Amino acid sequence: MINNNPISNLDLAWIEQLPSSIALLDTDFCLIDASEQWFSKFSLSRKDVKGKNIFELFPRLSENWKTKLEYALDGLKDIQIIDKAQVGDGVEGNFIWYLNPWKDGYGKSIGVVVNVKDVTETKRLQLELNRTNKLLKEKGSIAKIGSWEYNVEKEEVYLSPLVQEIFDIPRNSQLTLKSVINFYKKESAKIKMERAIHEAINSGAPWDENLEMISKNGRPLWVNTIGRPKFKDGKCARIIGTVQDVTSKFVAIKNEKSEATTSNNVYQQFFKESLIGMAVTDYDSGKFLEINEEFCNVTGFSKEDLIGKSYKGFKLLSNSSDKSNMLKQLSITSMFHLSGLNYTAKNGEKRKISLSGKLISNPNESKKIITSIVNVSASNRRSVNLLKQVNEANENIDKLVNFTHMISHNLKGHATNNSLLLNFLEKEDCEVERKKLLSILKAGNENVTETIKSLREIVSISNNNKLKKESIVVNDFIYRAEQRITGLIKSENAKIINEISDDFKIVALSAYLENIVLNLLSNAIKFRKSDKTPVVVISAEKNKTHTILSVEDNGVGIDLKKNSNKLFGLYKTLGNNGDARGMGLYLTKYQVDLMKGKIEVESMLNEGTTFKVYFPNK
Amino acid sequence: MPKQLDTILLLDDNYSTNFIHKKFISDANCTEQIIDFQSGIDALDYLSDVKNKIPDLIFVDINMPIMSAWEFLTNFNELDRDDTDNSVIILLTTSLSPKDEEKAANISTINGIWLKPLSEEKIGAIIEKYFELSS
Repeated sequence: MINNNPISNLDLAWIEQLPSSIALLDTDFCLIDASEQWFSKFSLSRKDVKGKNIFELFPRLSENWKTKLEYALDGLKDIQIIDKAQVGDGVEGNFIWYLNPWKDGYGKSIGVVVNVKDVTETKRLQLELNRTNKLLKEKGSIAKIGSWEYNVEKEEVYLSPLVQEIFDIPRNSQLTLKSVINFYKKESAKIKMERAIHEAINSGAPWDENLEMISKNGRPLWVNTIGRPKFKDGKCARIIGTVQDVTSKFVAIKNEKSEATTSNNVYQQFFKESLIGMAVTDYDSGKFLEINEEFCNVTGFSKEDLIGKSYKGFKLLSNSSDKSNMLKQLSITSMFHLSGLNYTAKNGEKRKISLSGKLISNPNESKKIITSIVNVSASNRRSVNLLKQVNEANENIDKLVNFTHMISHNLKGHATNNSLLLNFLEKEDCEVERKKLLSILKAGNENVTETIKSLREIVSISNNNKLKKESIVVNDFIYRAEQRITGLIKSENAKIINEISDDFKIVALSAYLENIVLNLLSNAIKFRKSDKTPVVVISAEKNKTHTILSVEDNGVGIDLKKNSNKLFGLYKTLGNNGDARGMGLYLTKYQVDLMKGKIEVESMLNEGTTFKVYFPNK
Repeated sequence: MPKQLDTILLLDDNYSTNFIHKKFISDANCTEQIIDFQSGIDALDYLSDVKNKIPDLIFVDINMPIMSAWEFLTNFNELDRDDTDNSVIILLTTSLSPKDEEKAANISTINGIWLKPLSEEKIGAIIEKYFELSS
C-alpha cells in the first residue's frame, strides 16, 4: 500500500518532549501533535484534540488567522500574531503565536509549526509584530523584474516573459524599439527614453529611470527601467537591462506627497478651530508665536495681549516647582505634561488647568514648543457628579440583582410545589385528602397571583419614573384607600382616626401616594393584636423641608433590633399570616425613594407601630 | 420493624413545601414522627422545651422572612439544653448561591445543603449518608 500522506511517515515522538509550547498543524491546519507544554497551556488533553482543526480548538481566533496560516504554508517565516485564547474554563490568556512553515527533507511544505509564548514584554513584541505585518504586505507586492535586450546592429528587441507580462503583450511578440518606447505615456518620458538610448549607444552611458507608462491593455504603470550598453570592438553592439513594476511604491509616494502639501493647511485649520487651547511659543524666549481662540478663552487674555510676549507674564507656571518640572520633562522626553495646576485667569477667576507640550525642532528653524491647555475645573466637577451617578447606578444594579434572585427563587419554589401537589392529587383516591390538597393548591396559587400582581406594580413604577410631582390633597387618597379596604376594615372591626384637615396638601406623585397610603393602612390593620380592636391614627405635619405623613397603629409591633435592616427588603413579610403582601413595604420604600423622600419606623414588640413618610416640599 | 429515626423537624415558611416534604418523608417510612413549623420563632419555642425530644434530623429553608436559617441556627445552638449537637442539620434551598455555600461552610453545625424539593430518593440518600455510616 502506498501512503501518500508524508506526515504519517515521520517520527513525531520528539515533539512531546520539547521544552516549549509547540504544535504542528497539517496543510488543512489540523493538529498533528504538540508538546506537553502546549497542551497544558490550553488545558487540553492530547487524546481529545489530536486531529482537530485549529479553528475548532480555538473558535475565538481572529479572522485573519487563515490567511496568515496560508502564508506560512507558502513558506513565509516568523509570522507573529498576538491573540487571545481560552486557557481553561472561561479563562482567557493573551499569547503571541509564531507561525513557521514546516517542511520535509526536500523543502516541500507539509504543514505549519505554531509556537506559543505568553505575552510578556508586550511593547517589544508589538514592535516585532509591526515589522512582520509590513513584511506580509510587501510579500503581496514583491516587485516583478523582467529583463530585456536590444541588439543595436540587428535592431532587434528581445523581451523576457515577465516584461511581456508587465506590458500586457502576448508571448513571443516581436516589437521594434520605437513601439517599445511608445508604451511610455508622457511625451517627456518618451524623449527621456530616446535620449537615454542615444547616449548609451554613442557615449556608453547607462541609465536608471522611473517612468510612467501605459500597458497594451491601457493599465497605467510606473516602471523602473535600467539599461547598460555592451561594447564590442569599440562599438555599442547591444544594450541589456531590466524593467521592474514599481507602481505600488510610486502611488504610495505620490499620496504621501499630496498629504504633505495639504497637511500644512489641515494643520492650520485644526489649530485654529481646535476645541483645545493651543499655543506655539519660542523655546528660547518663551514668547507666544501663535495662539488659537480656545487658548484665549482658558487664559482670559486676548490674542493682542499675548502674541509676542513671554508666557511668564501671564501667571502660567508661576509656581517655580511646576516650571522646573516642565523643563526637566522637556529635557528628557522633549515633551511635558502637567495636570491640575492652579491658574488665575485675567478676570481673577480661579481655574484648574492641564498643560501638555512638545518640543518641535525643524532644521533651519529655531526651536518651538507647541502647548495645549485645558480648563479642567468643570471636568473635575463633572467627574464628581459622574461618580455619584455611577454609584447610584451600581446601587440600582445591586437592587435589581437582589430582586431577580428573589423573584426567580420564589417563583421556582411555587412552581415546583404546585406540580408536586398536582402529582399527589392525581394519585390520591381518598376524598378528604383530595379536598385538603385542593385547598393547599388554591392557597399556593393565590400566593403566586399576589406575587405577580406586586411585580407588575414594581415594573409599572420603573416605567412611570418620568411622571411629575404635584401638590395634592392627602385626604382624597386616604378616603380612596379606605374604600379599597372596606372589607378588611369591616372584618377586623378596625377604627381609623384621620387627624388631617381636608385642605392639607403634599407634593407627591399621585399614583405613588395612593399606593403608599394603601399599603400603610392595610398593614396597620393586618398586623393587629388578636385581643385588641385595631385603631389606626393618621396625621400629618409640615416643616421647612418636608411634609411628614404618620400612620400609627396599636398592633403587634416590630422588634426593630432584630428586623430593622430587613423591614423594607423584598419578601420580608412581617409574621407569616399567609395573606401578608410580601412586597408591600419594599414597594412603599421604593416609591418613597423615587420621590427623594424617606421612611421611618418607630415600634416596639407588642406596643404598636408608627410609620413616618417624609415627602420633600419641592 | 422499628423506624430508623425518632423525629424529623421541618422548618419552611411555605406551607405547601412543608406539606410536600411531610408526604415524602412519611412515604420513605424512616421516622416515627414529623413536626413542621413555618417560622423559626415557633420552632425555637418548641425546641426550648426540654420535654420535647431533640429531633434527629432538622431541615431548614435558607430564605425565610423575619428569621433566616442563619439566625435560627445561632439561636438553636444557644438553646438551654445540651443535646443540640445530636441533631443532623440540613439546609434547603431552591437554588444554591455561592454566598450561601460559603456561609454554610463556616458554620460547623451544618451537615449539608440540599436542593429542594426533597424526594423519597433524596431522603433515602440523606439517611444513608448521615445516619447509616455513623452508626
